[in-house]
Amino acid sequence: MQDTKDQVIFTIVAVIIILLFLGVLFLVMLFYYNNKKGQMSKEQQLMKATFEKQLLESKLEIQEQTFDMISQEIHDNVGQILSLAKVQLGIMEQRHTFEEDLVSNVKESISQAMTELRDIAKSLSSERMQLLSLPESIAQEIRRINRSGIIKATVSVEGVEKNIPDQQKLITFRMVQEGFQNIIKHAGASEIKVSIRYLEESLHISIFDNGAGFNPEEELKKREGLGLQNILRRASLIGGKANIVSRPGEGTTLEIQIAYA
Amino acid sequence: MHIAWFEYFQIACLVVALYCFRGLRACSLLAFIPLLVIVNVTEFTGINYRMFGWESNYLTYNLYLLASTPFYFFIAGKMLFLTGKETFVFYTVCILCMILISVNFFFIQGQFHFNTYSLVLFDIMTIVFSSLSLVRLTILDQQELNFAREPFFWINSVNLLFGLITLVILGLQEYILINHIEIAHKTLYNAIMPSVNAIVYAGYSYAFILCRTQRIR
Repeated sequence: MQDTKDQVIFTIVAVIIILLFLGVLFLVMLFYYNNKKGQMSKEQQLMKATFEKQLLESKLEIQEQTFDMISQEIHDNVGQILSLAKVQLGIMEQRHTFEEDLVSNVKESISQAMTELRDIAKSLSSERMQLLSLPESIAQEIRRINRSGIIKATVSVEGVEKNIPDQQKLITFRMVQEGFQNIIKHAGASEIKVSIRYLEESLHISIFDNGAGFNPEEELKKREGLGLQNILRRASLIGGKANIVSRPGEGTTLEIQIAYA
Repeated sequence: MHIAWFEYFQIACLVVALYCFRGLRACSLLAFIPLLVIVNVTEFTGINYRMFGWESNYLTYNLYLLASTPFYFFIAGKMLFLTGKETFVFYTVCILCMILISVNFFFIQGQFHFNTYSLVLFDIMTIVFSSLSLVRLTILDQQELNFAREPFFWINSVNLLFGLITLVILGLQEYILINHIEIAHKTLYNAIMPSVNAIVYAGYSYAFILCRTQRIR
């Protein structure tokens, strides 16, 4: 009889301990889950802060490059044209004559300088960038390049245009602009072909030039390769990819892939 | 007149609840005050039933179950942060439980027989509601919670553990008494329940203090 009672007590106590264990296990699991959630939330916050920092750095870099570009454009184009107009006016002054041809040349030079200035302003305005679609902005940039007469640039668009957030659009456009700058400065190319393809899940932009080409791996290691590094970094910043395919003497292709947000 | 040692925890808990009145109101836990009054009165009369000339204290505990359950359910509902349809389902389940407990009290086990069916049902509901509340607190809240400073966590944790223990002990209460199942010359109930009660009411008291400090912050 005592044995049976002992067995009953043992069973009851065992059941209580098991239930208690399950209860405590449940609480421990909640603790664990809560800690994991906390860790994940901290990591997310850190990632967000890093992203914002990188974005800010990128914006500052873009701003700096933009200032360089303005200075260069004013010096190389507008400055030259206005100098020419000044020389033409100087000739008129020396000759003490009013030649219609010369006046019309001066007027043409000034109007060309104004067009150049307008183009620079357009290409720099991020507000305008927001109003235009990405292909439109790239097409406008291409028209500007073509006007110089040194390089022949073309653009083709495939697929149905999809909406890209302004931040992504601006950074993508600046990457394309940087690509164009690299071609104009270093490639010695006579032709640029830009292809914009709106695929199902991402946007593909490829910029081909028939210039001198180079070894991308070597170039990326050099300090001078900062422009290329910037393109790659900016692509990853907006969740995209950039790839440079080039060999000496065979031209260069810059491929940019941006996933839709 | 006798006051069991664990009753001091219950009395202290009531005092703390009154002291933290505003904190409890801010956390929508004011229902704890009448509940603790019922608990204290029940325990006092339940332990001293002979003083009143009663043969058993079952009626006291059965009445306690009938009177305290709506308060427990109401508090559980507050801690579950119910919305829309959930409120309807929750209160429907609670009303059904209350009907079953009342039917058991009046017609099935009766008033002078310990209402084990009601108690088991109540314990099951306590376990389910406190588990749901803990899960909701942990999973649905976007922010990481500091459990040590979360009053709802303490209340639900002690409710869950109390429910799991009492489910067995009080569910088998009659069997334990009839068969004189004892540990160290004490009935299983007397050996385990006082400590469990002390832990539960200490847990409640701590939660009330947290309610007060949270309100101040």
